[in-house]
Amino acid sequence: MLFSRLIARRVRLISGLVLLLFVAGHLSNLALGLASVDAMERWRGVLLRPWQTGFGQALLLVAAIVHAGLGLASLASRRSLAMGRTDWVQLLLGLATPPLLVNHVVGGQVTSDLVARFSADYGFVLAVYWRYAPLLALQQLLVVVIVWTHGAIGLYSTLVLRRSWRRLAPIVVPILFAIPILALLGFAHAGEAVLARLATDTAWRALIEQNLRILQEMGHRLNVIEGGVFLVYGMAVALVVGILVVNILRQRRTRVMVSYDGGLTAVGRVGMSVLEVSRANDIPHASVCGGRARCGTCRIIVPADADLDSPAEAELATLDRVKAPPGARLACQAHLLGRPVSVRRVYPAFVDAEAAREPGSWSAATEPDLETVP
Amino acid sequence: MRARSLAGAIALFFAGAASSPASAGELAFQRLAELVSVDVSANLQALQDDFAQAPAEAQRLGAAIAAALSDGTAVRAVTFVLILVIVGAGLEWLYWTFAAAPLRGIVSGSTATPREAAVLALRRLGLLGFGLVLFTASTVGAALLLPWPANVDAMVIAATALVVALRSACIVADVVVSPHHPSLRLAPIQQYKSGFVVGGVAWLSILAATAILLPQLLTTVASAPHLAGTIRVGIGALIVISLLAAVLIASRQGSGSGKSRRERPRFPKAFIVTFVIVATAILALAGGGRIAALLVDIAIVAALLGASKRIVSFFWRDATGRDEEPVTETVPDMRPLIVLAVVRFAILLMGIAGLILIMRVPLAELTTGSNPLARFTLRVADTVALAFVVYLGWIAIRFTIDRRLRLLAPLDPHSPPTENTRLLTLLPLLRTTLAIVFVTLFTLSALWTLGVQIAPLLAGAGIFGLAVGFGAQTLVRDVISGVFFLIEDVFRIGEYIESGTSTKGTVEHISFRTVALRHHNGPLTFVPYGLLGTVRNDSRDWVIDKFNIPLPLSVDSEKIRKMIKGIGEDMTLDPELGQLIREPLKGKLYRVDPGVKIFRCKFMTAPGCQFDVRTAALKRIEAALVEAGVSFAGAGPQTILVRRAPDP
Repeated sequence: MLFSRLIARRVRLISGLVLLLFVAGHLSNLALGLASVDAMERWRGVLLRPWQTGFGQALLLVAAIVHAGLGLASLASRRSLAMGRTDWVQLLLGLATPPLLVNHVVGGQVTSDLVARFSADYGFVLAVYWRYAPLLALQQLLVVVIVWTHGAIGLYSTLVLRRSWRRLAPIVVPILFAIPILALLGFAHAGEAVLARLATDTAWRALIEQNLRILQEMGHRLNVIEGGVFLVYGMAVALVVGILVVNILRQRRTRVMVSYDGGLTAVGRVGMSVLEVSRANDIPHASVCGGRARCGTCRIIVPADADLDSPAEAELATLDRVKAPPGARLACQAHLLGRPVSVRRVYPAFVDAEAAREPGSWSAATEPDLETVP
Repeated sequence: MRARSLAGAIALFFAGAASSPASAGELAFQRLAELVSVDVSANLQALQDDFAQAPAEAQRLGAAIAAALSDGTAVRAVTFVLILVIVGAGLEWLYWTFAAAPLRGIVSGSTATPREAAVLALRRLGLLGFGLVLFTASTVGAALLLPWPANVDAMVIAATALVVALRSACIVADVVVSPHHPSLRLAPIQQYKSGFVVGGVAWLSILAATAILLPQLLTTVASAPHLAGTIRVGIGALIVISLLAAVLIASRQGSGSGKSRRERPRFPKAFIVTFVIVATAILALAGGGRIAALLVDIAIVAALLGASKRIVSFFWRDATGRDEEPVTETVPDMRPLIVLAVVRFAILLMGIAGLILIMRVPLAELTTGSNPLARFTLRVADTVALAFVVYLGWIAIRFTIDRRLRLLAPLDPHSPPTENTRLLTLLPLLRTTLAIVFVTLFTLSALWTLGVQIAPLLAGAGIFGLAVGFGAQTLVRDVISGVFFLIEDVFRIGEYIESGTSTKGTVEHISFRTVALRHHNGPLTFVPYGLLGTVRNDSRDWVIDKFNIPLPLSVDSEKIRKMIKGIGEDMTLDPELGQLIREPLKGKLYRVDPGVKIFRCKFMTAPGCQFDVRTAALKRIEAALVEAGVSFAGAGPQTILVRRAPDP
């Protein structure tokens, strides 16, 4: 690793927030379609202009590449696919986003960057989607839901671990629901208006068709750009999947016994984390953040000489935050090295985010009697 | 008239056409044949039409979809559908952010008995089910608010129904089979099969829901009935293939174990199931869906009834013991039997409800009873309900009696009586009596419910009974006097009774007409209650025993009296004899005859112990007399040789 996991995590979060902020603005703009197409166009200057400057575009591009790259990197560093349901959803939605989104970005923004007389205003884009290329519209609708779901889940799982969540939740949750629904309603409403105008306003229709011709003339160049993006992304994904498969296959014959409190035992492979072993063997194990070393609820107590890799910076920070006693490890970060390991889970499997927000209240109740067990 | 309409109902029932009861009778067979031949040829012709016209309809449908794409309908519809997804899935996600922790709490717990697992499974079903209800309600609610393009709303409803059907099937299968938590499993399924079962259920529910919803949609919205018919046949074929594959896999895995050679050959389930599936498919193709559905309904009810015992005993597998050896020490548990009865009754009721639904009997006809088939079905349902109630009552009573008997000691007629003997005497008799009463009442009520007039039967029995009654006077007398003997508690099992002069013995067995007496010499006498007459019960409360001792005139009466009294007091102190004695031995001068003084002794003991006590008393008296140098009085001068016992 070039830089520590802790920094990578923060960068990933910040890049994700930047992207989510942009998407939120974009979708809010779409929601104005409930008023009129003109309103969308007027507010575009406010909501989207900052992102269309050189700096804004660069920031978005960097954020997108960094976010995707870090996501792929963390996928490549996995040693098992024993993930929670939320993680699977996030992974698949995240992987699906770039290929679905690329023609929207290229067709809209790149073309207007390249060709001066091409104006991709809302009227034109809506006309294309509703009248001339309905299949693209279906694709974009799908990607709206996918991107927003990915972002909302990411935001929720970050915020829910913070103490301020109780105060934030009544504001954040309705916004998370309202933005995509209003955007879709706005899209539908504006689409009706655009279709009506296309039928009556022939001059406007001619303008649209002229713009379309530009797009068709550009078609070859756009296809080259899209093809390039697809190629790079496809290669990156193939590389990551290849690394993942090789890593899993290389260790597939190793067997490491993990024995739990309560007489449970499980078998894992070298390189799997203890949490992944629990998940793969249906052993109840608390894990609020899903294995990102953030919540501290997957904590285990291990003997001093346990054959596990040494804790990294992110894990130490979390253990310090939850005031864990010596001998504690995070199950999601403690990877098996080869010899059998015996662990004791600290939290019952049914803890919720409250245990991560207020580690003190849980530790006070549970840890003293656990200390007495050897 | 009753019997005629019953036969008509049965004939119609099998013909599958409930039209008019009048033409039943000898024409039933002919009509049946006509119906079948007409139906089959018509159905096959309809199938041919479907296949012939489906491609054209599919092309038309494709053109309509293309048109919908370009005029904005499709985009609008997809936009709204995505809103539904956000609302439905989003609200359910919100629910799970609260409900996931309780669910994890349920599945991470461990259970001691299968019943606890069932309770946990119910809770899990509640949590999962509420999520589904929330999803459904919010989706439907949002769908009602949105302005859908024409015809799309029907599709959305169908799609929602499909998703809900699939999800409910998956939830139920997951709760029952529980692939990830073996301790919560509610069915006897091995671990490696569980995932297969859930997957199979999901696949079949998708197919079934599609087979129902898609053709309906095509017929109503797209007005493409032939395409709908073709798709129905296609999905039906897929379902049949999947079911056959499932049967094949299940039978392979079942016979794969090596120990099967030692077991007796089993019922060829796989063959029967295959036959039923294929027969249903053929019937559905040739005879229309209704008769196939009837067959499926009956087959499912039969299969469930066959499996019900295994299913219920699965939940009591910890209590009833593993294999053949039953647990004899513990008191029998009647809950499994009651649950089994309830389960069987519920299965039968559901089967009958299914029959009513399949036959499309209107509710009005059900209530007024104008349809003979409906009437017959209702009567069968009534009888089943009656049987259920009677069976439940019988189980409850039998188990209460058995439990009570098991808790009291097992009855041995020749051991000393305890306070429970009366219960032990009466309870088995009560059990038999109740069985007879229940069976009689149930038979009469069932006949009455099924429409057979029982009044003539009872009247006939009355006249016949009069005739028999004269002949069976003694029988009646025996039974009646037996009832009174038992009510008045004249004797119990284990008591020694004497009746009249010669009949005596220990009561060993009590039946309706006779009592079995074991004479102390061995023979067993069966005495009808009517002949018992005066009964002398030798085994109640206490007995007084008296015996005489003849002594010479020369003895000192007062000294002998004191000696006997001393012996009596000694005997009460004896650890064994003392328990039996109620009043100690006493003796006094009773009579003076020429040459002999007769002393009479008496004592009181528990019933049946007087012989032992008397023997012991005589032995001690004899020893004391020898000690005192007194001999028994005889008819003349006697020489008594006494061997003194060595000093202890």
